[in-house]
Amino acid sequence: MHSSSTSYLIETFGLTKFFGEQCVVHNLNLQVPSGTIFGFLGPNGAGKSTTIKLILDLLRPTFGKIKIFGLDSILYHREIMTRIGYQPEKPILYENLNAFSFLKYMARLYGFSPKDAYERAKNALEFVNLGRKAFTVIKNLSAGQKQRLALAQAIINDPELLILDEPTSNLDPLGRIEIMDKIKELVKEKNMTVFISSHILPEIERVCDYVAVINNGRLVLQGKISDLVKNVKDTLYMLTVSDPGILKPELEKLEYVKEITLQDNTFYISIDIDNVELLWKDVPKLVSSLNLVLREFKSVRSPLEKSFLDALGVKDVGGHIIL
Amino acid sequence: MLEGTSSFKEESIALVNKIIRRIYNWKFLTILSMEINTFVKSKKFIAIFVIFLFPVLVMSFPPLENASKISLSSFLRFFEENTSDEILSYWAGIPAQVIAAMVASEMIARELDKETIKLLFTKPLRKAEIVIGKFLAFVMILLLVLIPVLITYSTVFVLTYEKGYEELLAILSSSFWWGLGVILLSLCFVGSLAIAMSTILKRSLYAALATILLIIAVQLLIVTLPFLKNADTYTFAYQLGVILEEVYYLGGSNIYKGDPYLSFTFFMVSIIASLIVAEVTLVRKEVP
Repeated sequence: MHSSSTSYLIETFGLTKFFGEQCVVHNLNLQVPSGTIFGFLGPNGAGKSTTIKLILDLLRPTFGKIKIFGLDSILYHREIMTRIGYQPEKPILYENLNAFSFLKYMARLYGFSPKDAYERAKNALEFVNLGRKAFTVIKNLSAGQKQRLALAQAIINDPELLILDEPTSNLDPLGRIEIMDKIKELVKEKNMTVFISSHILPEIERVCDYVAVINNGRLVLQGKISDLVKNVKDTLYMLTVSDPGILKPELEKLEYVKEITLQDNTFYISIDIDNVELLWKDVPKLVSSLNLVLREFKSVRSPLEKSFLDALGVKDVGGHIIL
Repeated sequence: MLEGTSSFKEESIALVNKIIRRIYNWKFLTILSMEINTFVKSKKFIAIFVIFLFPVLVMSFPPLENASKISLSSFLRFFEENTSDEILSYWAGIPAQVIAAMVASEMIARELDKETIKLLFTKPLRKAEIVIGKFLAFVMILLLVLIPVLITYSTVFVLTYEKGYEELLAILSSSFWWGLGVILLSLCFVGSLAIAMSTILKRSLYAALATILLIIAVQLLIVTLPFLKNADTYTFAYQLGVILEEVYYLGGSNIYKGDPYLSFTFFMVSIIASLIVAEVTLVRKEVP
């Protein structure tokens, strides 16, 4: 069942979408390889959800076309949908049904027999750890439980391609980790390709092997994470000491330091990635020689975060990335 | 010989399995059963049942002299003459049309409003399956309400005139079905229009109001058209009367003049056209 002659499960060709005069997605050429966890990143309002809706034929492209499993997304909509699972950004559920009936209904819509639908609903509930809530009316479930139920409905047909639109947006940190682990488990156990949109970079970095970055409707970066991070030339470190005023001139003397910013008594030191070891040697020495107390010294950005900021053209001055 | 029997048995089982698998693929049946299940469990079902039962609760029957002595056919005529008023003015009239428009318009508008339509659109379903599933669910709901109501009405009618099982059976085997058919035709016409409206207007209330207003407006417009002879015969209620009179005794003077088959065809074509409009609208619909 899980076979495809194409190397890309999703391919978009010059995908463009206008809402009135506003161009929300502009000439997007996306390529999602088979068997990967593909992270689709971008700030809020960048066009991530619109792109997903275009892929699912919930919206029609103004220009361009989409191929899924090598098939035209509009002409072969039904065939494609038998092989896809979709979890919308906000859990969309039939609130008056109980979790089990809802999943059975979803399975029946794929054409499974009542017996198969029963089994699939049961297995999906167990997979998302909602077995004990099977007969709870959906409106009485918590936000996290609803999100997990939405994931269960997305995997009810054992899809080849799972499309998840911000799957952890309503969850607490623990819930996020749990859902992302479930997604990893799915890929491992069922050999699914997962297309996951998010604006939480560390989350994507933890599970994905491919990423694409979209900003203002335009694709700014796409590729394998391991390839993308190779191109990252510099990195950012943060340093907190007892008296930063004394240390600053000494840090400025270090030749390989590209830029130093002092913000709220914390240094943000930008260096070439090849000089990381040097910095690790020099900083403790300097702090010790000046009799200062070293409170914190760590890398602020992972290579992917840096690559992401470079792609967006954002100057990195430390602090959290707010997309 | 035995081999032949065994092979036939296997082929038969395979054929049955194939048919069952094919039926499982009729996803409109899944939508239909879900709609009926949801509706029957809701309070709306009871409310609508009571509203349809209203004529039975408040009805005052006209006096019938020597009721116990009149023949079965005369009693049937008396039943039809009295029931036709209830059908044309209530069960197939404006009160029921409003209810039908509200029930039908909610079926797709609710999915659009709650965004659950995204779940349906991302399943391997034809848009026509959604429309047919919803419409047939609406028809089934009407039957679930109308059959008990009309049986209750017929029973009360028979008991009021101190008639018995024979008369009730006669009603239930002839007049009952024609009356039910006319009510169903009328409400399906309204329902299909409401379903079409609900694919255009997101809110079910707006769709229901638009449906009723459209029906009233078209009828008002028709009667004011100067070039149309006997314009009043083109109204909704009149055409239903034409169909009803084909079987029902309405006083014997042929009140509703017209071709019942033509009227029936008009209603059926309108229903199909409305459902096609609903399907086409859904096919073209974008869900942001």
